[in-house]
Amino acid sequence: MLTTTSLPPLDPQREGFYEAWAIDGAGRAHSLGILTPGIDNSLVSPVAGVVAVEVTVEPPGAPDDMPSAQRLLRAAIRGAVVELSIPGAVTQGDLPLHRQPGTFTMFSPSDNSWAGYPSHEESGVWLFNVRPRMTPQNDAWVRLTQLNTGWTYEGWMVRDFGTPDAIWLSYGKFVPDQSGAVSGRDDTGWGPFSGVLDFQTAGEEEFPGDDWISNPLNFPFPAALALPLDLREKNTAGASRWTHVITIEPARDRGEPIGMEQPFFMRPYHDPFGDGASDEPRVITFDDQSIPRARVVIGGS
Amino acid sequence: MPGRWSIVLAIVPLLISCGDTPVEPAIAADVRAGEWRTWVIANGAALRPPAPPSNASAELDEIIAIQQSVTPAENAMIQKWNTLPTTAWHDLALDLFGFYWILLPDVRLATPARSARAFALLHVAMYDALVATWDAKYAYDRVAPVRADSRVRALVPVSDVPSYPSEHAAAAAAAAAVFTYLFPDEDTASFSALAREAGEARIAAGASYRSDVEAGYAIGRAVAAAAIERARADGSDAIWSGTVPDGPTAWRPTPPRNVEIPFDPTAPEWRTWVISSPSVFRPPAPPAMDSPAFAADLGELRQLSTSRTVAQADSARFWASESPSSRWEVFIRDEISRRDLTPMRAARALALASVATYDAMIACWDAKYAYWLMRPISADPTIKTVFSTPPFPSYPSGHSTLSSAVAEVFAELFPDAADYYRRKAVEASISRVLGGVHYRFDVTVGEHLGMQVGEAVVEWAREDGS
Repeated sequence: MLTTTSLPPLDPQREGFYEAWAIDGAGRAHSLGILTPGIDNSLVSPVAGVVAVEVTVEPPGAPDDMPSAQRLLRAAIRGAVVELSIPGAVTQGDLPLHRQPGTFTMFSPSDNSWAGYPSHEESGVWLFNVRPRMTPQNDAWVRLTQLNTGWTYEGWMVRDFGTPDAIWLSYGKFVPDQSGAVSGRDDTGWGPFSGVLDFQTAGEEEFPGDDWISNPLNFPFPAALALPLDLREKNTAGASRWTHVITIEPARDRGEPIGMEQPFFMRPYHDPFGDGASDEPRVITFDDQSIPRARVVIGGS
Repeated sequence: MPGRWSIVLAIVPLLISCGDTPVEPAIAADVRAGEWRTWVIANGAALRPPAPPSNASAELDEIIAIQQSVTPAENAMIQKWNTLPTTAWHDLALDLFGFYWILLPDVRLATPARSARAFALLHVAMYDALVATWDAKYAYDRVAPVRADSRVRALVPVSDVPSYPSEHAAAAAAAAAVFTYLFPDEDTASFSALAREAGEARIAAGASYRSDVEAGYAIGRAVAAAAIERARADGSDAIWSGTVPDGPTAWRPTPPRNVEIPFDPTAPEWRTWVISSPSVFRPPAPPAMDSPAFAADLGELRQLSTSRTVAQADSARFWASESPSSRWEVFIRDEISRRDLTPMRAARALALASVATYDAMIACWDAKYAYWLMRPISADPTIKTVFSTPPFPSYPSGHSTLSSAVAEVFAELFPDAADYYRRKAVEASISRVLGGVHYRFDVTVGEHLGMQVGEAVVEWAREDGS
C-alpha cells in the first residue's frame, strides 16, 4: 500500500503523471504502476528482492517501462513501513534541502549607472548579495542543495502569491555548483524584460536574476502588470503584494517559451518581498509544506 | 542586468535626550601628533591656520541657540558623528567598494590595484589632515565650547583635546574631496553634504565652535588638494599601449569572460608610497612549465578539481567576495573599534595598513607583468575553479602579497594579535589555491613578496614620530 502526502494532481497534458517503481538489488527499476495522489494505492511488485521504492514524474503520453529522470521520492526498504522522501531522488546523495539558503538582493537595472540616474532598483531581483559581510553565508552567494539531473531550480517573483489570481514571473532556471553555491547565471541571462536585446548572452554576472523594466522584444507579459515593475508594491492592507519564490522544476522544463513558464508544485522557498532598500539583504526561508512525502506499508491490504 | 544604486550609510543613532550631559572621558591626547610624519603635505605645521578669534561670544551664543531647539532628528545626527572622525568615511568607502567590486569588478574603480589605491588615498588624506589639525590644536590650545561656557551642554562626550581646528571637519573635507575625485559618477553632492553634516553636528554637540569647523574644513581641503595632485600624477591614468606576449606559458584571456586586456597592466609604473620602486622586491621567475615544481603545483589543482570540499570552496569564496583590500579594511576597522583607539592612532593605523596594501599590490603587479604567467585554467582547461579566474597574470598572487604585507603592519600595530593576523594572511593566500585560480608557487612567492613590503612599511612607521 502506498499513501502520498502533499502530492497534488498533475495536469496530464502538461505535466504528466506519477509512477511508482520497485528497485531490485541490481538497480533495475520495475514499474509498480501509475499512482493516483490522495488515495491509498495498492501496488504489487512484479519481482522479488526489492531493495528500494521510488516515485517518478513521468512525461505526458503513454507509460513506458523506463523511469524518467524526474525521480521524486525514494526510500530503501527497511521494515514493513517505508517513508519515501525527496533526498536521493530530487536531491543528490541523501542531502536535504537547505533550510537557511542565505540572502539575496533587490536591485536593478539595465538603465541606470553609466546611462544616468534615476534608475529602477525596485524592478529587479538578483540571487546574490552585495553585502557579504552582513550575510549568514559570509559571501555573495546563496546556497542551495544540489539536485539530481532531472531537476532544476527556478526563481520567481509572484504577485499575490497563494491566491487564485497569482501572477508568476520567472526569472530563470538555475542550479548550484558542486559546493552548493548558486554561482552561475540563469538560463535567461539579464532577462527578457531588462530592455537589453541580447539579454541571454550579454553580461558577466555570476548569479541568477532578472529585471522587469521594458519589453522591446514583445514577449508575452501579463496584461494586469505594467512595466517597469515596482516589486515593493503593496495591497490596500499595506502588505507586500510580491513574493520571492524558488521552485523545483522538472529539468525538461528548460526551454519553456519566455512568458509562458508555469511553476511546478514544489515551492520550498517563498518570502514576502517587503519594501526595504535595494541593497538590503532579503532572507530566503524554507517551507516544507509543498514538499511531497509518501508511505509504503508492505503487506498491507 | 546589475547596475549601480545609491549607497546609504546605515548608522543607528544612539538617542540621548537633550537634557543629558554625558560624562567627559579623558582621551589620550597625542599631544605631539602634530609632529608626526606626513604623507602628502610637508609637515603638520605646513597648513597651520591663523589663530582662532579671541572673542568667541558670538559663536558661543550660536551654539547655545542651536542647543535650545535640538530636534530628535538633529540629535540623531549629533550622535551619528559621535565617532572617530574617520569612521563614517571609512564605512562609506567599504560600502562603495563592496558594490563596485562585486559586480564586475568595475575596471575603472575596483580592480585589486585600484581598490587598494583608493583606500590608501583616502586614509592618507584623512591622516595628514588630522596631523595638521593636531599641530594647530596644540599651537593655539583653544578650549572646547562646552568647557568654556557652562551654558553649553555636551550632547556627546567631549575630550580635553583643544577644539581648534575641528578634527571631524578636517577629516570630512579631506574625505569628501577624495571621494569626489575617486567617484565622479556617484552623487558627489552627497559627499559634500555629509562633510557639512559632520561639522554642524560637532557645533551642535558643543564640541566645536563654528570657527573650529571652518578651520578644519580649510585644512581638509588643502590636504585633499595635495593628495589628489599626487594621485593625478601617480601613473594610474596612463593608457596601456603594450601587447599581450605570445608563448607557451604566456597569459591569455580566461573563461568565461575572456577579458582581452588584463587589469591594470600599467600598475608596474604607478607611484608607490613607501617602497622605493615597484620592482624593488621583484621575485625570480616562476618555475618553467616543464619543471617538476610546475607539474606538482598544477597537479595539486587538478586533484582539487575533483576532491575540493565544501569548506575549501567556502574559504575560497570568503576571500573572493570582496576586494582583498576590503577584507583587511574590515579587520582594521574592527580592531580600531575594539581597542578604542584615539583619533590620531586610528587614522595612523588606517593609513599605514592601506599604504601597505597598495604598495604590495603594485609590487605584485610589477611581477605579474614582468613574467606574464598564464593562469592554471590556461595550463589545463579541465581545472575546475570555484569562481571565475581573475583577468590578469597568475604569478604571484595578489591576495597573498597584499595579505602578508598588511599582516606585518597589523603585527606592528597590534602585537598581541600578530599571530592571528599572520594566520589570516596565510588563510587568504591559500584560499587562492583552493579556488583553483593560483598555483601554489604563486602564493608562496606572493607571501614572501608581501612580507618584504610589509616590513618596509613597518620600518617607515617606526620612524614616523608617533
